[in-house]
Amino acid sequence: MSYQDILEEGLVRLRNGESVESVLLAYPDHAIELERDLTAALAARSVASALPAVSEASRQHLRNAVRDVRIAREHRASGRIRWLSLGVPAAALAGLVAVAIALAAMSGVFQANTAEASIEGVVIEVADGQMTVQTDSGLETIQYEPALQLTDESGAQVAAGSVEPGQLVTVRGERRAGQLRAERIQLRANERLEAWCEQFSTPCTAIERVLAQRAAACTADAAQCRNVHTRLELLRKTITASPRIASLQQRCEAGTAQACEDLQRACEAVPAACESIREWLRNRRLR
Amino acid sequence: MAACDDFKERLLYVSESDAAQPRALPVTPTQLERLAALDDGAWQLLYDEYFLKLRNFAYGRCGDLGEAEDIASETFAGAVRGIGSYRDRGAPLAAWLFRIARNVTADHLRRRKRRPEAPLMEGREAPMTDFSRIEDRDEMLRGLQHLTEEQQTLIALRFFADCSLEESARAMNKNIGAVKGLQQRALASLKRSLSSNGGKR
Repeated sequence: MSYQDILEEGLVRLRNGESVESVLLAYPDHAIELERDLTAALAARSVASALPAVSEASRQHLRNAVRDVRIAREHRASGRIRWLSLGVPAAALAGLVAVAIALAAMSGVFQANTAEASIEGVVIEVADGQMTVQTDSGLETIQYEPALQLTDESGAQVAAGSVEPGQLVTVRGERRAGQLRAERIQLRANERLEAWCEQFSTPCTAIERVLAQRAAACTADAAQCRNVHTRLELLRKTITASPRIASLQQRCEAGTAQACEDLQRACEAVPAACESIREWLRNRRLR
Repeated sequence: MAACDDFKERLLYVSESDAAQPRALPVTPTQLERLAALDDGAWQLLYDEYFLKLRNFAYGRCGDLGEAEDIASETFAGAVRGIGSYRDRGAPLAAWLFRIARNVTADHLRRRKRRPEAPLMEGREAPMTDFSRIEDRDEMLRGLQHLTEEQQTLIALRFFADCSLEESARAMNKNIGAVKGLQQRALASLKRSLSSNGGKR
């Protein structure tokens, strides 16, 4: 059982009323780390448990919100009824509405829905005015001004043009008609790439392919090429150390045929990074 | 809310064989119909079940009780306005509520003016190294500020709002494995942060 699983089990046991000591007795090999983590968790819980009850004002606030939305719905409904009660034939009314909508669309009255948006992902490609980012749900193309101010995680400004493939970023801006236009870009620390990739191994294998191509083609400025190679190595290390691949390898070794097939497929996507695992699979079949 | 419109609807949560059973049950069709129909009783029941947890989650993020209650109230107001577009995928309503709360909290924190640093507590001379003696709420809140937003969110969900691992995963749109890893890192960062704060006195 991994430490993460032991920690979770310990937290559940604490919540069910057990003491820290009884949990440590159950997992003596991890006692030191477990004690520190469980005590930190207990400290947070104790702060929360000391909070007072909620005020009744908030309950009234909810009643007001429900009432307001109900009134708004009733107004919308009564507005439609008023139109119909004017005696205008339904067909003629529908025609008038259709013409009005068409005229409004032509005059640009209907603005595309805009909404504040924020995404996190790894930069794949940077071209003039556009950046392609691999997020956990797919590729997203973002519009941005190359002169846009960048910041690092502490909020300090970073030189413009510092966004490179393999960089983990948080982008905030406005989404119009489905496209995100960046207003702020934060460069995340390289170390966070590992944590990000642990969650989404599939997007990271896609990033690895792109970075590998860039690294192979990189013959320009030495510093820039080193950066691409560094990011590539970091990513490969992350992918091969991913809990998902480790778990598949464990289950394959235990005899689960499906796990071996899944491991084979996972490693086909990352040939260079998975060389040792593929070698292991080949040797296993020869037994 | 505009921020709610940007939610990733695809659920990344992957059920694992050793996942803890969820504490919150999926919303029943009848319950959802009553909520969508703006039945006051149904909304009050939902309030009774989740308002305190949402308030505590917000407190874990912003550190101010009044603001936390405002955030929880705004979360419910947002839920009332958005219930018409809520799509039942068999998941507990709690995940949707906490996602709204997370966005409302982020908006509050962005708008909030920086507060002057609170003066260090007087009279404590020994550096804080033994976590079993941590009782200071302000120290905990200061310690949390050194964590990443995701780590703070998870600590607030799990230990302030008392959400289960699965509830937290759904609220954060992550799978169980990812949340376990985040939890380990968050607690490690928290204990480091509390140690260094204690050492500065």
